[in-house]
Amino acid sequence: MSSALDTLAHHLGVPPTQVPALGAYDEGRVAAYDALLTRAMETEDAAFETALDEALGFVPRLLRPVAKKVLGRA
Amino acid sequence: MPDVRSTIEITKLARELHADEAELSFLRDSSPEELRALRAITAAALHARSESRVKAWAGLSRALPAPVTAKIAESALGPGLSGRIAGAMEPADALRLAEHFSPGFLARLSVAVDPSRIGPIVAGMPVDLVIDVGRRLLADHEVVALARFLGVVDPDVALRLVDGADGADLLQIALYADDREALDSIVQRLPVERLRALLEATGGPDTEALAAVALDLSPATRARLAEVVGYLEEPRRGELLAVLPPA
Repeated sequence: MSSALDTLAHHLGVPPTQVPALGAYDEGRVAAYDALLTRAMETEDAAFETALDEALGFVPRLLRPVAKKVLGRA
Repeated sequence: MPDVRSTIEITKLARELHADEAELSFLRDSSPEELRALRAITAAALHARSESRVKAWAGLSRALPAPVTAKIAESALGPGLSGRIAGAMEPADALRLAEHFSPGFLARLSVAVDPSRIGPIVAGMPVDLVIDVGRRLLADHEVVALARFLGVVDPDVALRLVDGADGADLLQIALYADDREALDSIVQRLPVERLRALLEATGGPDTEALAAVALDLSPATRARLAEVVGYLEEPRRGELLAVLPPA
């Protein structure tokens, strides 16, 4: 079993046998897809963190402590 | 030569990954079916990663007045995150929120989020608002987003959505449509002159791609396509007749 495929499957949350299109590809191409997926995940994580921090600034002051707690930012 | 349907799927996959299509060129030998399945699990993985934060905000938004939540969405969260949050909300709550969004923001949200994930919300939106959003997508030539819309709106609404599209946009919408049943219904009811414009816009790899899409259409719709192809001038008529599947 390709270790790159195992890593990608882990990131996708599926068994390696259920990674379509890439199962027959070499390690390099599987790793290239994993790199794109990881980049997308990290980009979204960063965008979400920034957006949620900014969004908290719009929450009415009285509700802000509750909002921070709900969002795990207390 | 790569299957043109795989090229279309790579475009959709690149959108999910916020990547350039060229970065995925190594996938061009994969079948369209494999690429479609890869896109589905990729989208699911990306959504799962943000699920807890999205659900937390969706819950929190219930405690806030809808105008405040809408202001936060447009000013801070942006269309991508707002779309995911809307998909995690009860449809009735999301619809109350959508009433406070500007049509322009709803259009950007429709580009960022697969409408199938917010189907009940789109279904509950006033038709005039859906048309307004669709026309904005059309003005921006957001054919991938429009193609995805076809599967979540009533065929009558879909026909109104594409009413102002030129032949080239109509063709691209048809090529990118995932829901072939919805596409079939629209092609069946599209006025002859609109269908003719779509067919006249073919050429090169798009001709082959349309032929592949036509394989998934009903015999009655394929017969209608063939009938309208008969109205075209040469060489387009001959090119299409050579590749379109029989009814």
